[in-house]
Amino acid sequence: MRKIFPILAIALWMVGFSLNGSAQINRTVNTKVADALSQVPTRDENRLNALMSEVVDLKEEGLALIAAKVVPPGTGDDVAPRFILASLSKYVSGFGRDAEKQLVEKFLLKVMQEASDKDVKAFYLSQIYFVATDQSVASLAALLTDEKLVDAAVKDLLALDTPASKEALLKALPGSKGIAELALAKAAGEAGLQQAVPELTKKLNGADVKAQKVMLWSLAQLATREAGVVLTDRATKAKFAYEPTNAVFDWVAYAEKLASKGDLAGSDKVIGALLINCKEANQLQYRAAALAVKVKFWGSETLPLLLKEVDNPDKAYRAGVLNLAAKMKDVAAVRQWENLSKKVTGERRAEVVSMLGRMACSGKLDYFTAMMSDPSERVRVEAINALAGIPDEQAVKSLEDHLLLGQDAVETANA
Amino acid sequence: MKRRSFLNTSLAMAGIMVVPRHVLGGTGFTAPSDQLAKAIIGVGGMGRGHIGYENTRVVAICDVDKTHLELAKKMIPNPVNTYHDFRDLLQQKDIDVVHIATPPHWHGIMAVEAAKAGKDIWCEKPMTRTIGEGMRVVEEINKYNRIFRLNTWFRFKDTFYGLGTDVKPLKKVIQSGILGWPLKVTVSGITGYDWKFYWSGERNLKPMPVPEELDYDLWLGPAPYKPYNPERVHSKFRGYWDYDGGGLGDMGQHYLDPVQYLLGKDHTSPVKVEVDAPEQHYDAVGSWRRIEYTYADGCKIILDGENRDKDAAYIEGPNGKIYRGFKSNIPNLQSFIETLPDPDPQITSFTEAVKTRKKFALNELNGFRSATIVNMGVVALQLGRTLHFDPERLTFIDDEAANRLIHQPMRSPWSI
Repeated sequence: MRKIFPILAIALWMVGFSLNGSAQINRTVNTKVADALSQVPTRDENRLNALMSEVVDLKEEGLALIAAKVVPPGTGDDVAPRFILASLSKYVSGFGRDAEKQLVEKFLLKVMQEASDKDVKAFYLSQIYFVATDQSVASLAALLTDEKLVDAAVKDLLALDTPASKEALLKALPGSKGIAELALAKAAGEAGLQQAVPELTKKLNGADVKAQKVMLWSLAQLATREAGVVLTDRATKAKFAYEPTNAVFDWVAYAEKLASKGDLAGSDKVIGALLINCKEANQLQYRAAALAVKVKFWGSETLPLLLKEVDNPDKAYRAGVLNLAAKMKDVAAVRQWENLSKKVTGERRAEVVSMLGRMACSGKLDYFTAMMSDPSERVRVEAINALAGIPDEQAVKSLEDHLLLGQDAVETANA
Repeated sequence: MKRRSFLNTSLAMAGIMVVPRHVLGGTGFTAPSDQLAKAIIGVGGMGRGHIGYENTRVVAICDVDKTHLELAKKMIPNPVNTYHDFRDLLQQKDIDVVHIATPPHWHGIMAVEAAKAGKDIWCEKPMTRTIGEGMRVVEEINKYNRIFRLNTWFRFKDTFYGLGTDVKPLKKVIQSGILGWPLKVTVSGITGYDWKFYWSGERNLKPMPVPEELDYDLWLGPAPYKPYNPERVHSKFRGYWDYDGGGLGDMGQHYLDPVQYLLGKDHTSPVKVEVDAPEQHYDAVGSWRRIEYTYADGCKIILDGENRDKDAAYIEGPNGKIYRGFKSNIPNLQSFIETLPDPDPQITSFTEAVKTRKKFALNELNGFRSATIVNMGVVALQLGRTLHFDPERLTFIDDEAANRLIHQPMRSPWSI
């Protein structure tokens, strides 16, 4: 009995010591959390980084205490904890902080899943955006049927841009409806999910205008042959003019995507069809876009086509053609434009001279000088402007000589 | 003999009287056939302010707030179509030009949609809310052969707020090289520019019922959903990162576009942005003290929000300085300026640009670059750190989080 009593006393003392020590540790975490909350917003980058480093060191226990103070909007003052958690995600997303980023990502996923209020979940999702890795995919995928959170979850998966995140988006598409269907159909195009084409095509039938617009856009981004069949059909049904589903725009985008993927034959076929079908005033923007794609990928091979397009009666369209032509500055192209300018008259001639002037061709002094004698005032003005842009004494001399003739005095003096 | 003075002499010798064009043609009257048919999307305060622009007649207006629509309709003397949804407005065939006067989070989408519909565009600043949206606007405007202008004008007319000079003499001085290179430009209250820090948001917004006249879902559009509070919408949207960038977003492109022009940086962007600012809230924009941009050649733009440098010159080079009111430490500067050639001419009439199809002075190309200066600053503020940028690839270097703020996926069904 005597031996037991001291042992018991020591045991009781040790238990008491242990409890007291825990209390000390808990108070320290609580105190540190309170300290951190009292410091936001920090004054500058150095203080912010120092504070965030301390917050990371609080580990999950401390972070949980902070997150516990985040409340649904309008139900309390949670400015400080939101400040900390938002700044934390940006801090750990900085270069060389991978270990901290992993910790924070895991924590944000946990609190996001545990939160019952959807606006609070949305807040966490907006912070996961900066730190998401494949670790987040499963949790984000679980939200792809939630109408209120699907956009935020899709945004995070798109930012992640890994095979796993893409797989999650693809898998969720078939069964999706309503807002989720729109979000996932759009994401399919944004993420380049070519396997989504059959599903998008299926969903297109019976979709409302808003949904059709999204799906056609995605099909254009994906640019498979199957997508092309649908897009061609839709552009045809739209009579190659603007309408709310933007079918013709998407058809042009499809042609561009094909070319960028190396399928020049496929792209050329669509461009050819656009040029055949888009001739009316309300279709010319698509004709211009088709030409722009052609010039982008075929370069100077497009020159004969551009030369012919100057015949178009629409002035705005012709200006677009000549803007494209101005990019081809090689001697052969310039000579062809010069020759064309001598065959066309009036407004068209002036436009070609203007385009040549913008190229600032110093080797064309004789040409512009000759154009200053054109019967059309517009042509003469463009020639004057062209010479004004050429840094050459001979250009100045030509302008002086023209000035002394007394014609186009204002323009020449300004030049 | 300089070209300009020779020609002046020649004119005098030839006895030729130069009669300005406007004297011959008369001023003040534009025939209806020469007027542009305009639609305005967003007819709040700024949008209604655009109703009376010269050489245009308003044929359609659009707003997601019925009271704005009614107010605007009363201000327009001729019959006008009214729309709730801008996508319906874009189908109206007789519209030549669309004026986009919505909050910035809509600017990119609307510009691209208008281009698809074959309309020319006059867009409020900042050009776009993100760098990624700006890239798409540039692509589509050029592909669809549209004329685009931004609604800021200090690179071609007007005295700069309190600076006290037009841009032309400044441009001539810089082009002459007399100040040396590289240059530093300081934009602060001292040099004539106050930053509007009152465009700071409220941090703890309480959800409130959406007023009956407002379609909040369409007002938000591509922006993430957050519960309605009147602080977010109409004139207060500038205080929230989801829609704008506070004072930097509001005035940045006004102040910085002429600087970009003066420095000859229309085809590039800074390579570094440094911020001195308090920690920023994730939703509500706050104030900042200083933002410093550095170009590859050493040129700098300093945004001094605290007016810390009381002796700051507006432009400073190794060999000279120019202060507010066009004061300078270079002797006889004004006489020197008179000997200098004019800068390259710019098309400063939007009507002329539309009719001739030549690019307006502040178009989508140079406008994208000055908007990018603003948007780089916004990203640096949000992340609270110095960022390095590649002006050719248009990406931030070694900062994935910053790059995630370049192309930000939009709320469905919106995309750009």
